[in-house]
Amino acid sequence: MSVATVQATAFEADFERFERGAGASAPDWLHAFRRDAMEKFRAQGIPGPKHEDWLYTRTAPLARNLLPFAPRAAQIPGSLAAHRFALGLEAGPRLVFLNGRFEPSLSNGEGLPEGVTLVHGAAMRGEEEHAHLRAELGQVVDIARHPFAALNSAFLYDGFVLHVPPGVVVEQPVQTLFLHTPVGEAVSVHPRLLLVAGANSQVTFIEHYGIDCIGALAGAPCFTNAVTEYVLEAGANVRTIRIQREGTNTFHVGMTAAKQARDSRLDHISLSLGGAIDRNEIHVSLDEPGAECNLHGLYVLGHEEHVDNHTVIRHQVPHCKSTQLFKGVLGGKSNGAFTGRVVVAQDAQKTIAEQANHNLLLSDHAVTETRPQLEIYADDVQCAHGATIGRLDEEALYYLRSRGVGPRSARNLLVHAFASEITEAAGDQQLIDGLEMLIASRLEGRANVPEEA
Amino acid sequence: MSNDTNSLLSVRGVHAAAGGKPILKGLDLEVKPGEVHAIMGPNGSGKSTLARVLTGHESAEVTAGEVLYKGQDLFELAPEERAREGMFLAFQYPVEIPGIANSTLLREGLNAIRDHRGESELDAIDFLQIARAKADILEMDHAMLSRAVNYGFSGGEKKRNEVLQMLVLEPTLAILDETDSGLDIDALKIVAKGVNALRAENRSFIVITHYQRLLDYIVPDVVHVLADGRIAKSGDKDLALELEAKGYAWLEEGANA
Repeated sequence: MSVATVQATAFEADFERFERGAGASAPDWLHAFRRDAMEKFRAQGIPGPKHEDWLYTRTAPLARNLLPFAPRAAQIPGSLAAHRFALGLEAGPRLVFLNGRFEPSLSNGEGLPEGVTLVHGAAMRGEEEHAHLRAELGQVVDIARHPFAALNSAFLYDGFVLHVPPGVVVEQPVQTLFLHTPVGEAVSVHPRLLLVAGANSQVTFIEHYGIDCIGALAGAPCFTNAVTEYVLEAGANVRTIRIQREGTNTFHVGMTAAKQARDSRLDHISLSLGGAIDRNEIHVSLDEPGAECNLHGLYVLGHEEHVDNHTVIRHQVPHCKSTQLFKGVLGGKSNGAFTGRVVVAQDAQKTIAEQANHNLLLSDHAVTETRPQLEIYADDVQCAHGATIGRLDEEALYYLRSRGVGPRSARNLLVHAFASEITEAAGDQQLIDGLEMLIASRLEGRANVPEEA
Repeated sequence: MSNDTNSLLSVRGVHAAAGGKPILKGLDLEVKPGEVHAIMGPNGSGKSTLARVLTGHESAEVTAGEVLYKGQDLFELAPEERAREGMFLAFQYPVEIPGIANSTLLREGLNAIRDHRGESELDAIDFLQIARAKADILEMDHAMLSRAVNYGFSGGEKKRNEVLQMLVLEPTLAILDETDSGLDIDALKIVAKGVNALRAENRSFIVITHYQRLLDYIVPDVVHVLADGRIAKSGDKDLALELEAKGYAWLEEGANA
């Protein structure tokens, strides 16, 4: 695609600038990793409007906003602002990144059990001994087939790799916050995460993308291009929550890719709370019998925001289970899309695969698109999919109002009720409350401006 | 009927349509503080439309007449404002709302009403204490408070839940729209017990019912018969017995004569 290639070449100069500038200080393996990735990106380019996997998202605004690599934050926000993003989890391990750079002063490395190792970007960049990362990163996501993941690898600068050893139970959720803070210009960041959950280990992991108070007011556009890889070894039980609330002006491409061994379980929740374009891509490969993944997604949009949820689940072997429940709350002139692809390989008998997408339209101008794609090559499977589009129940609204509840609160209560199926999947009450608070602040129009601002 | 300025509610010459069809055709009703009015009548006479007109359901379109509630124009008030001014409707068909706990609805409603009265909001603990005490009157399991509003409730549970809400919100004017329909005698007695527990000098009730049976347990001060969108006859509680014995047909004959 020639158009795509032209767009891709616009990156070349920025890449060279990055390699000579911010990214210069790096071991040989990392330079090689980046150059290889850049080649793979170059070969693919930005996907064009006719690309089957990108039907619902116009990539032109992304291509136009291929922004320079973010400089260091001019100012570190107060700890209070950071806590606003912390789901109330003030204790516990927390890694905070400002403009794509690890910020030790806002982070807390305590609370990780013995044996859990965590390598973040500074170590990656500084020491040749982490050369093993070259093989570890990219073992789940195939950057030869995902141009944005290739771009993320080309600009690999910071992020972290977390190893949970076999049998270890990490009690407190491990939380990451990626905050944009103003630098007076539009910028891009390429966070990179890898979590390896050893056999029979347990961990809850929270990925949170936001902007701090000052950034919210400045309103400069930014482009976040994140890649997160999960490796679940046999019997691992991993709960992941991904929250995107960078704001109405931002572009976000998020790739979550997981591979699962025998009897492992992944429960994933993604919460998309607005953005100019938010591409939420989730790939799961169920590689050994007994693996189970449950994907939950909630998107709450207004204005002219756009979210494109794109999932691919591969049932490679018999006796695996996948469920997907995505729910959209769409106001204004927003647009919410869901494409759910389930591929059941020929010998993947006894597969259970369920998929549902339900949408609540709050305005006459919002648009939702849903596209289930079931590719089933086995014959003894249970696969189901369903999609609905509806409005708030007028009788329920009247009922609530007849009890004294004002129309706005009544509406919010009903939206919360609609969303509760997703938030409750977080299991833990503190997490559920935290997610509900984030949704409430979005519904009250405060998503982009924290209260303290 | 006199236009008594002491009335809590004055319905004057109200005409209303539902789905474009005229239902109420010049209805008058005066309810004074502390009174219990029963409204009886055959199906289609306009009983439920009256309840909807009073509580502001958009399906009931008022085409003429006025209603004064506490001396103010009722039609100027939105449904939630009517509720905050003490009006309550026990629905004939309570709405199921999955995802919202009974206690959440009740606390939101009660606090909105308290706020309107200039009272402080109740915290979760104080609220639960009140709600549990009211549930005890109705012999309801406290677990019902944390279940989703009417969701998966049996018909009897829904009606009992309506009465629970009424006990918690302590209205000035409670309208019960066929709350007895579908209830067995034991459930009926419990519902009546809830209503009677609320009866007070400054609190009025409009009890809409198809059958006299409920009025054995909630004894009305006045009984009205609604026929073809108007009050055809009013009397004391004996009128209900007479209706039970004779049916509604004799009334319609009388009205047409």
